[in-house]
Amino acid sequence: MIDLIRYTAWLSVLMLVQVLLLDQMALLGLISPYIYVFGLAILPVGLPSWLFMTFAFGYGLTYDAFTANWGYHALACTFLAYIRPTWVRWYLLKSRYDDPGSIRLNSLGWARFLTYTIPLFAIHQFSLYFFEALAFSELHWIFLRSLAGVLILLLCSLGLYTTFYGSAHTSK
Amino acid sequence: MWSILNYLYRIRLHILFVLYSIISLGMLVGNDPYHYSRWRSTMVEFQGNTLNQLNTWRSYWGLRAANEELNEQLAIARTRLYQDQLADSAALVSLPQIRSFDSLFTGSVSTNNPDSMQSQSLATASPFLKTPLIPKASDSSSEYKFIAARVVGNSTIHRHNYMILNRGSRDGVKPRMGVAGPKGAVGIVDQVSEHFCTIITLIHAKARLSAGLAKKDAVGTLFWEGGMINRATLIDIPMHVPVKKGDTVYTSAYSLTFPPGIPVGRVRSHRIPDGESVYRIGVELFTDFRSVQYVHLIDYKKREERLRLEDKIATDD
Repeated sequence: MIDLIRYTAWLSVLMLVQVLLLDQMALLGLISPYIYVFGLAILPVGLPSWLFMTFAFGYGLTYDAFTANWGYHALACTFLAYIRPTWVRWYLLKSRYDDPGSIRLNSLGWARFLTYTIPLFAIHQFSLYFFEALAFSELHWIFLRSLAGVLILLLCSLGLYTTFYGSAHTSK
Repeated sequence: MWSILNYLYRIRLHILFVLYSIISLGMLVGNDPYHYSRWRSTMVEFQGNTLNQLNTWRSYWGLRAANEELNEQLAIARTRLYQDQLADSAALVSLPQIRSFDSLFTGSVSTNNPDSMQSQSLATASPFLKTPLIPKASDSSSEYKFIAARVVGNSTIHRHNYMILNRGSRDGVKPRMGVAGPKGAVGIVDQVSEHFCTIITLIHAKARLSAGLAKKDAVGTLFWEGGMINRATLIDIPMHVPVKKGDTVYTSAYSLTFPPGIPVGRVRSHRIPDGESVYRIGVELFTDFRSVQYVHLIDYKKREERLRLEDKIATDD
């Protein structure tokens, strides 16, 4: 129960930071670090898949409500939630990661942490930009934006994690 | 029966995925205008209030640049006012006129009587082509009212980009009013709450603007195709019209939201697609949507009258 409250508070803070701060600082006017996705990606592995997907859908929808771009982020988060259980099974559980709590940098190490998060970020960014454009003729542009989006998201996520969340975990 | 339920339970993740994807796609494609409008008003009020507070500090940081920009505009406007007055009456402009002109920056100001100009071409009809952004001092037959506003929220990264301004229904803002910044057209008012309003900017996938080229009697439609936020496309300009790189694109007299002659952008490329008789013109937009902080809402007072007339024509047909 305490964990649930903690995760909800963490996700709410991320959402507010996203809406009130990061959305106002778009890089080149094109790319914003969608840091709220990071909150989703590090939710506990033990969370039932259907619950995680419902949660992700609702979370994406909340962001859509703030930006009046209905459906875009809900869809991208749904894609992320659909892929994550398979990715967790295939990558994390295979390497005997059995921490029931949220996914931690200090448990995984940098290399595995990045290998885990990058594909999830990429799925989210690509589906987001693809459904925004809805045009195969713009695929190269979508790939470029996704790549830039993943990079900036990684930088911001790791910065935030190591500054706040990471230090809390390390001190445990 | 039990085995079917069991099977459905086993594939619940896939079912949920399909269900949520369909819901998202449904929302993405179209929304119920009524619920959308109600929800947006609430969200606009919340976001507007919060961003207004947060933006206070940002305004301080940007104050110097904003002041410089305003000063620059004021200087240009004053110069043109003097020039126009001198040309019209060969007399110096009196101080009260300058004062009434300055009210544009704090309240509302109107154009000279444009009725007498309506039979002229786009190139000569607009008082804005002589004074691209700022009309002359007000008189009793005003057609356009300008309301100064500050941008408190802005998005440029989405397909559907909006701005939030600190003016609402209490200040006389209504949906469909035009919005122009210091450098040119910015967008059209969408939702209005008591203290705030949202703007569909020109870099919104559904934004369409009636625009034409300076000194050429041709009007087309300007829209944003996504991608770079300083580029748009102008179509429907007939091939007989000479177009060259660097030509300025203005709002047209057909627009129900903008006065004719508000600058929009500059021609950066043009071509005639195979099998067509109209240009496809790449336009570099004047407005920097990332940095614009102060804008003017434009209330076209005769819009309702024109709409009624157009409706009547449509009904008669």
